[in-house]
Amino acid sequence: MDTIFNDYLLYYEARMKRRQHSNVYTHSYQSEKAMYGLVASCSSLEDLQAKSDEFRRLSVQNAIALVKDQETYRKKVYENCKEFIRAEASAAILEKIDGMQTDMEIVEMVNQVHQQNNIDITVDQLVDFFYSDFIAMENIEVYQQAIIPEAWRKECNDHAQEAMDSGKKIWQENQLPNARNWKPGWTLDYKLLYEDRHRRLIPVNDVEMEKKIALHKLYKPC
Amino acid sequence: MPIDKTYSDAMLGTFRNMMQECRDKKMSGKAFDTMSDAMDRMEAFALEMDDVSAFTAKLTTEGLFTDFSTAYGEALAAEGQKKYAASGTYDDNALLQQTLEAYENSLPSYNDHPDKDKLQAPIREVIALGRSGINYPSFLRLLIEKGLDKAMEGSILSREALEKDIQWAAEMYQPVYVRRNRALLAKFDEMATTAAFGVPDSIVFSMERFSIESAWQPEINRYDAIVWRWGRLLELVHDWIDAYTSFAPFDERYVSTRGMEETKRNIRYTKECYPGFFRVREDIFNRYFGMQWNDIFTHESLAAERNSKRNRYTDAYIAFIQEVYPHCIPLENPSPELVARAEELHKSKQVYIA
Repeated sequence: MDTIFNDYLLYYEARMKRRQHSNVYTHSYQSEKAMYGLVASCSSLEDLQAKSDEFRRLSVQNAIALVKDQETYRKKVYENCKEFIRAEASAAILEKIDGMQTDMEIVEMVNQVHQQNNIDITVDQLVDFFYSDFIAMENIEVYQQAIIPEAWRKECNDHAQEAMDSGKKIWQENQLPNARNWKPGWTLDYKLLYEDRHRRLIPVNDVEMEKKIALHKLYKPC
Repeated sequence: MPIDKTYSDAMLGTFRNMMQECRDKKMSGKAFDTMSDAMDRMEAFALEMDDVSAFTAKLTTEGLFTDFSTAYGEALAAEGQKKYAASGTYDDNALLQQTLEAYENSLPSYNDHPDKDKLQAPIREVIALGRSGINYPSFLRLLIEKGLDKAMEGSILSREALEKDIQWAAEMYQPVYVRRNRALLAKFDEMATTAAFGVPDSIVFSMERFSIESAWQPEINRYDAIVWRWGRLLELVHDWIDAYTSFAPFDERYVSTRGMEETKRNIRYTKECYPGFFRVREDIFNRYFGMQWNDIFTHESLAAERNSKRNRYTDAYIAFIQEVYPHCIPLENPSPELVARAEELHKSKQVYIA
């Protein structure tokens, strides 16, 4: 066996061993093992070159296995975190990956899935408008509910109304049209707020949430 | 009217450079055509649209960034294959030299980076390894076995960056961030201990990081929300008691540019409305977080905000605000003694730390 061929054998062995005890890279270990097996079945570079079709096939299999392992892991983590929109990208890639024939097909498919998923994530996060309006809504509540002398009542009611009008104006002239650039016809779906990925970020109990949702529907009507 | 040139240049500049690079190399073919089409559409939108956020959304939802980048990758790969095919035969040494040249060419791109030396060190080590007289497969194997492939991904810097994040959070007196960042470093170190060749896998670590950050975000949001709200409560008590003082007509919190009558009105508004505002906010504070007024003074955030000097009240003034609190009742006034204390603290500059 010539030196350079033996060095390639050691290289493919190192690639295989890197994945050997990993719980994440199980598909990669199997495909690297197959690649190592192919190289080990030869006795020279010329021998290996004679099996170039199989070598190329296994190279693509390696890429497929790597994507499979990474996306399986991502999907698991996203699902554990209840980040179901993010998990959709991994699920879509895993569904399509076995049908890929070349490395460029893989790159193109992965890019396209992520492109759509990034848009879905952006649209999903548009509900963040709600929590970012908490301080403004509290100001309105303060003006409306405070015990104050009657002499100031009109002024405070006016302040509350101005805050409501200003919110409505920003919403209808700016925020809503921007949101609809991402998804035509978008409206704020308040039910989404109760999905864990959004709900956990709003540090108030459900009773307070309900009150704020009721106020928000007046503050920023769709 | 087109998109402001500053924005369109910032967004399209990189793509224009990539396009030019391909033209300079006289590339052609399907991938190059796809790039050109995507570029033309991006340039057209930059001229036709006038709103930056709508422009960004358009380029993203039409998939132009992705189409361009994917085609660019394809064009470069095709170019590489052409080059390789031109040489006709497999040349192990040529591949090694080509790889090393690419690493050498990448070094100057870090020249302006604050961590230049740390980022360049593993690349220099890789180049030295390649120039040590070994062949290409041995070079590739040693990259894996020595963890240099991971080092070049910035793993060394990642650990330092994680340590710096803890240090930053501590210096900024952000206790929840300190705890979260410690959890991130602990995970990194745990993974380094068990990883093959001692280097954590970047994909796995990035997902562990996502998981840890997601788990801590609710506590960060709650902490920030608490800080903002007690800050407002303290201010309301402070502004209310000071509205009764002799210096109020000259204090910027109440002074109106429309004259003394308006200033007096502002003072009256503060005196008569702020206790009502305060009690609504106190109620919100209680309903949101299950916290009472006294809990503010034992919550870790008060000490953190004061140590960081984001909150500048002195110990004496914090104690005074607590004393004023039971008197800040809608439709009631403070005692003359309390107002005298407020004046004294103001006069002796004991409201804010120097």
